[in-house]
Amino acid sequence: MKPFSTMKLAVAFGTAALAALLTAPANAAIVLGGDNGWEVSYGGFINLFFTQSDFDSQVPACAGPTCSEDSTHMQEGLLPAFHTLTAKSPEIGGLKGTAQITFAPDSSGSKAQRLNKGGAMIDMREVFFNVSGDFGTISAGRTLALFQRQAILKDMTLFGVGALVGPDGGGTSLGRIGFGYVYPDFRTRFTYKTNDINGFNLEVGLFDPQETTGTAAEETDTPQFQTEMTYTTGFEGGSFNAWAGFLWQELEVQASTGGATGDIESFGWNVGVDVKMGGFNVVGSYYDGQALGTLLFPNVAQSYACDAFNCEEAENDGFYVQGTYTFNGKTKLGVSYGESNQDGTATGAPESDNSLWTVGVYHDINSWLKVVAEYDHQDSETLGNEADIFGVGGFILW
Amino acid sequence: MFSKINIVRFLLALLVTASWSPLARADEDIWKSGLNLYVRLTEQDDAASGRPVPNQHPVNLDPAAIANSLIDIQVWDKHWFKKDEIEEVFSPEQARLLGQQLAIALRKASPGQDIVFAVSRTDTKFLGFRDLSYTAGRAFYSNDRLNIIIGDFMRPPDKFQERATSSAGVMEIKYYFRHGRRDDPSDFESAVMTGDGVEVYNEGGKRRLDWLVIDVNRASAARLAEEKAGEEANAPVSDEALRQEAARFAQERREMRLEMARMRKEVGSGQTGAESTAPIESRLKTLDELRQKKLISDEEYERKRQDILNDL
Repeated sequence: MKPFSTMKLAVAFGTAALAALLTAPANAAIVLGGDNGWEVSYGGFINLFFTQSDFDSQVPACAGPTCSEDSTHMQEGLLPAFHTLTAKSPEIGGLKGTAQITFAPDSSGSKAQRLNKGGAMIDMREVFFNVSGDFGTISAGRTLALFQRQAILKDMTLFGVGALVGPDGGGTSLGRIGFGYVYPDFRTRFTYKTNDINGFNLEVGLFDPQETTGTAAEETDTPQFQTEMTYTTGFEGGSFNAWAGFLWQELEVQASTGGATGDIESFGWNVGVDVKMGGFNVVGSYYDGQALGTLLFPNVAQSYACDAFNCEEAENDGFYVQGTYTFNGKTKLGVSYGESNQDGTATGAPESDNSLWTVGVYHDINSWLKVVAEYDHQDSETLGNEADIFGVGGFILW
Repeated sequence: MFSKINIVRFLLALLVTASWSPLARADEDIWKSGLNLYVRLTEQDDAASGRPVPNQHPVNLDPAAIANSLIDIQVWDKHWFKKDEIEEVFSPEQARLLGQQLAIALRKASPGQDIVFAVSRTDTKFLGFRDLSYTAGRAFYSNDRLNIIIGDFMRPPDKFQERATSSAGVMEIKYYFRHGRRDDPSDFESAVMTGDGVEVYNEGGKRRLDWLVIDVNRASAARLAEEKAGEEANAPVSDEALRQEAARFAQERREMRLEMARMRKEVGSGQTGAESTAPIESRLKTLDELRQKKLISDEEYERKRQDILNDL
């Protein structure tokens, strides 16, 4: 075990001070529907898609009936159902508070099991609160992480299907996760975000470090760092938005299957632009780094490997480009292509390349009803399959 | 590879870059609420012929007079599925807010500055659903008139994206609105009911439907007079003839303005008087009466109705 360094001590004190600051103003009693200035709201959406897919195995020597499968399936898209409760405080002494809880049940399951995601459990995606003032916003709790957040929020498959893990699976689809960006996931953290500075925003955060096994074989004794900087500006008829993000985490492997021990340093950076002009919208996103994983960080079992002598991180990169055109503010036509790639290591981490083409139509019938038709072609070494997927479905929003 | 010291340096560099950004804007917020509602001073935009004539800024205008002149601006739009064809450009709440804030902005603005704004309203729509929308525009005082160019008119928010992002830790989406330009008409092409101090801009014989030119005092006085006439019409006065006359006058004014807007729209869309909607309405009513009296069959009714509609 390494000694508790000065750096770690400073981080611990900083975290404690941040926590003390956050709890200080929490002295208001919430009365639902009361006249004390609190505002409580509830919103959400539910979606379901009908998908028709044709899967083929990518295993080179695969032969026989198990190497391909056609599938009709009814399942949710990249988003599960969201149910969000938000409480907003009155402004007192220049401070405004927000508390939010989002639970995300599934509208579908796998073909083999009605219930999914560990039985009747509900995915609690968000449990956090914000305190805002002239200094900016301090946030504590769990919500979508910063690294690659913009990439997923601007992805047109957010309201579609995108890639699938397999033909019969349950829960959400992958969208472009692992086919253009690594899933940011909903993570527990303390963050600080600046107010708007001439179009710039900077958000930095200390995140709960992630382990693969959660056993003593792995040790994480420093927080994970993530940050996101955005710049937005408008012009007559359009807007320009650019962002950059960063992630760092150190994981100490104390016992590996290969025998060696060592530090696994995950780090990544990402950049992107989103340009809107009239009905046209172009989005480009790129990331690079090591030990990020291809689909999910920090599911790092595949993103590093140890042999008898040392442990080595795999290199990762990926991108996607997307072009859409929206007619009458209601009907969006879009096409996108993206890749996520990993280089293999001498110690045994696999090389893995994924790509996805998507063409979709997303139509708002009104302000609370959206219908979607999408075609996707995925080619994934990580999942070991190639598939053509056609999906039609809809969302209701409140 | 990427040491802790380098992480700290990276974060500091980002913060310094943001703080000392050379892209600092010259805009000045007069009023702001959240990310998307504002009244703001900005640089004067270009005219079609190049640099515009400097505005008559600063200028003192009465906030109530501005609000009164904005409340009464209405547009006529053709809807097949509802009777009410008249729509307010600004809701009363929007007009009051703009009246207050535009008055402040016009007092602070320099001749080289315009005012851009974005305001919201909530309207009850189909099946009783309440929908939020944004209206954005550009305002300036020139030739002794308040000029307002409408950019985005009743633009709906992207509720699906808002819900997805607000459930991902991003509490508010920033919209970028079109404020309208002197040198380029916007998509706002509804027929404005002009008169009583409200006109649309005319450049070389070409009407700009998105550009309102308002004589604030005259428009405000007209509104107050109309209000007074309405009140008198409803008041229990002893002189019944006078009360009826006031009510009739107010009604005639409204009908006249509606008709003028309708005629302008028809002229704008290239229709002739003979093909206007008024005779069509009359013909449709006659046709309805004939069917009700069973003088024509349903089949004849449908065929003739289609013929009339084809004349549109």
